[in-house]
Amino acid sequence: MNESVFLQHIRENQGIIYKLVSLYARDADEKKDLYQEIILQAWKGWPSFRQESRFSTWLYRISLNTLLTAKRRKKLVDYRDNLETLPHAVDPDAGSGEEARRLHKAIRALPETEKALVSLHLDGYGHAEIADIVGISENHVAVKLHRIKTKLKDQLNS
Amino acid sequence: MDLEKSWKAWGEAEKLPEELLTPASLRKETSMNPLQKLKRNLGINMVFGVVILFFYAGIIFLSPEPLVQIAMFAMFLFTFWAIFTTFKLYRGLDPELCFSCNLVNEMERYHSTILRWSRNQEKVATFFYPVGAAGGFILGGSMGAGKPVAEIMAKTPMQVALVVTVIVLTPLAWLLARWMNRQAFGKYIDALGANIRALKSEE
Repeated sequence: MNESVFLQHIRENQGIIYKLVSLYARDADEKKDLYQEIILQAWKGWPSFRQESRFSTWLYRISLNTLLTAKRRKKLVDYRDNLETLPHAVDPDAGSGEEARRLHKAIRALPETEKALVSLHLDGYGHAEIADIVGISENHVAVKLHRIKTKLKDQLNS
Repeated sequence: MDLEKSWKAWGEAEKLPEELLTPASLRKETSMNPLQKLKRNLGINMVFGVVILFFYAGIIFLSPEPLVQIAMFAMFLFTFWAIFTTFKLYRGLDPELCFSCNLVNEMERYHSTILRWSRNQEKVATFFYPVGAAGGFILGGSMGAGKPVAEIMAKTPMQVALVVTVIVLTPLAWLLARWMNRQAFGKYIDALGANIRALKSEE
């Protein structure tokens, strides 16, 4: 299992790490620490990666497990941040950049577990896959996602 | 707003810092994993415990006073017990992230491991500090007065002072250990617990 193959997989899926870390990190320093931690944990787990699941799914699982078990900085994280750093993250060809920024800000303000659920959903994972990654029933996933999406839409429309 | 489209629009073009995507960066072992730090601290605690055991053994063999030898032997046994319970926790602690576990199970594992560590610290501190203080009280009194321990402890005020010291220090030591644990992991444990409850709730 060599490093270059692993790093190639990471490069192809770095959007997963970027998006998730940007939802949870407080500042640029913590972002870098969390990027590094996720890549380190994925590298440690690389020998045990079976080809049964997609690398992206496996990386998503490791990213979420790392983010939600990491010991964060002592100061409480306030996710109501400004948008100065966000414009660079928007794909200019994808349509409404402002909408993307507003959505990102709204998701960032959600509780930590709701961020995990909604990002999995928005990245195209079905209820069964989300239930497996998170460890709750499909029913719970459906109920929670319905509530989160309602909350997001209310916030974005207000 | 189309949530999926807006989500896809955001972050697609972003890249991670290139210095994190090199073989050299994979060889760094500095992990933020709290269980790894915990395991390292347990190891350090055991090393200090063994050093203290040798110290007590030295006093037992070198001290001419039977009462001091008995007290040091009690401390030796207690320290040995503390090292043993710490070793059990150390051996049972898997500090690595589980790569195939689901999020809830992994959070629960971290939560229960740190709670076990906290209880271990509180148990050790509750006995260690008061007994150590009582030992210091006796030895200090004996050395200060220049008299044998038996003679010092034969006096009623000294006996009463010793009992009061232990009675007062035992709950204080427990509270101190509990406060130190809260300082080290309080917010972390609370956040983990809240996240676990949030995911497992039916709402």
